[in-house]
Amino acid sequence: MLIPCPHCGLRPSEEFTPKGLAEAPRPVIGGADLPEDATWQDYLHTRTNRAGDTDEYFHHALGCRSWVVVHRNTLTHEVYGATMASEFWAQKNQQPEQETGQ
Amino acid sequence: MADRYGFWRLLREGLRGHTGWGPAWRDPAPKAEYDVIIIGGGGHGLATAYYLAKVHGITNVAVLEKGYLGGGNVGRNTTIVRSNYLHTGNELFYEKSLQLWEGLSADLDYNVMFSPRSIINCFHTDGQRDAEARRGNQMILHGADAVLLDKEGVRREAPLIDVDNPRFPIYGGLMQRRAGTARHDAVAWGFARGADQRGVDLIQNCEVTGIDIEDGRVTGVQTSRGPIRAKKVGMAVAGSTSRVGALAGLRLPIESHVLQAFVTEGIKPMLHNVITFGAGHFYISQSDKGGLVFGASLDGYNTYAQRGNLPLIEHVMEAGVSFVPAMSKVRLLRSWGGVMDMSPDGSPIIDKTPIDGLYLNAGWCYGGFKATPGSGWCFSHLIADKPTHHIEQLRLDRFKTGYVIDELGAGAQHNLH
Repeated sequence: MLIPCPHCGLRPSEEFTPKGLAEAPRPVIGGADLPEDATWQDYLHTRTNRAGDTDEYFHHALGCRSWVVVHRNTLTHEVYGATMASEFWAQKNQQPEQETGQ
Repeated sequence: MADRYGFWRLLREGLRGHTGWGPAWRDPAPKAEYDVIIIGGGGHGLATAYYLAKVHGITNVAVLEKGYLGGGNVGRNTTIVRSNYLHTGNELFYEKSLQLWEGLSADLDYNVMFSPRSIINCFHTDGQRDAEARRGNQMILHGADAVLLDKEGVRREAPLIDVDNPRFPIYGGLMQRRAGTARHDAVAWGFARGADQRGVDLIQNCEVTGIDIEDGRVTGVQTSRGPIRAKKVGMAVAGSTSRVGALAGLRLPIESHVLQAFVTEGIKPMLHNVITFGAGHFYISQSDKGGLVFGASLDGYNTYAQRGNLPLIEHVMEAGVSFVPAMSKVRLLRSWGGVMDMSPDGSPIIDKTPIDGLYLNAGWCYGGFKATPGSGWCFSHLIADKPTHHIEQLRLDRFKTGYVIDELGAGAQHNLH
C-alpha cells in the first residue's frame, strides 16, 4: 500500500504505524463534567468496523512523524487519501453526511 | 446413524473397492423453526452444535454457513494447539480446551491427528526469562504443564535453532510438552459429522441477512434461504463478528485484521516441536507432509481481505532466517491470510449480549484454532443456560468495567495483540 502523507507525499505503508479505526473523537477532558463511561468506551474499545470504506489512524513514524487519518477500503486495500489527524474531526464535523459505504 | 470409522469398516470397504462410503453429513433444507441457530459453520460453530447435541441433548439445532463448512479461519491457520497463558481468565479456558483436544479423536470417532509434540517459547534476556518462569508457574497452578529449559535444553530439542545468535542469543525456553498441532480441516469435518449424526442441520450457502428482535428478545433470523425462527441464536463468525453483530444493532469491541501464514516445500524432518522466537514474533512447526509452517504478526491495519501485503512477508522471512538459519535454503510454497476478530485486550469473548437469546462468541485474535473444542464446549453450556467457570472472565462488558485480560500488557489497542 502507498499512503499519500499530507506532508511527505506518496510513501510506502511500512513507514507508517497503524493505530486503529478513527470512528469516535477523543473525549474532551477539562470541562466542568468528566466524559461519560460510554463515551470513553466508544473511543477506546467499540467499533463499527465496516467492511469497505473506513478512516484509520496512522503514525508516519519513519517520516515526518505526523498523525494522519487514512481513508481507505478494507476489502480492496485501495487508499483514497489522507488527512492530518489534527484537522480530521473538524472537517468531519462540517460534513456529517459524509458517505461511509458498506 | 452412519457407521463408525474403524479397522473392520476399512477392511470391508477395501475389499469392495471403496464403493460403500456415503457423504459424511446430510445437506438438509432449512426448517421453519429451530430451538437454537448457530451462525457460522466454522470450527467453533460446528463444535458448539456438536456439544449442544451431545452434552445437552439439544438436537433441534441449525448451523447456518454463508459459504461451505470449515471454509474460514479453521482452514487458514497454523494448526497450533497449546495452553500456555499467564492470566487466569485465559488459562482456565485454554487448559479446558487442551484437555478436550487430548480426547477429541476418540470422542468424535474422527482422526483429528492431534500431535502433542510440545511448544517451546524461546527467551533472549534475563527479563524475558523471569517473565517466562512466572508464566510457567501460573500454568502449573492452573493444572497445565510447563518446563523451563536452559540454552542447552533448547539446543537438544531443536538442533537447527541458532541458540548462539550473536544479536539475539537464546538463554532458554518455556516448554509445554502437551501442546502440539492438529489436522485443521479434520477438526471441522469431525465436529460436522458428529453434529449431523446427532440430528443437527448443517445448512451451507445460507447467509444471514438479518436478525429478528422483538421487545429486546431474539425471535429468529432472515437468511438468503428465507426466514428461520429460533428461540436462541449464537454468533460464532470470527472475522465477520462486527458485520453480523450490526444486524442486531450491536457495536462490538472488535476490529478485523489480517494474519498471514506460510508454508515451504516439503523437506525431511528437521523440527519436531512448535517453537517460537522471542526477539521478534515468529512461530514455526513442521507439518506431517514435511513443509515448514510458520507465521508472525498482524499486518497491523484494518482489513477484511483474506490476504496481506509484502512488507510483512519480508519481515517474517527475516525473523525466520535469524531464528532458523537453515530455513534460507528452503523455498516458500504458499502464503495466505485469515481475517482475525481482534479484541482490545487480545483475549476472547464468550458471553450473552444485551439482547435476550442472542449469544456472542468472538474476539479470537490469533487463538481461535486451539480454542475450537473449548469454545464449542463453553458456548454450548452458555446457550443451554449452564455456563461453566472456564468463561467467567471472558465477558463482553470487561472493557467497560476494566477487568481486561491483557495477556501482553499492551493496552487497549486491537492491533497490538
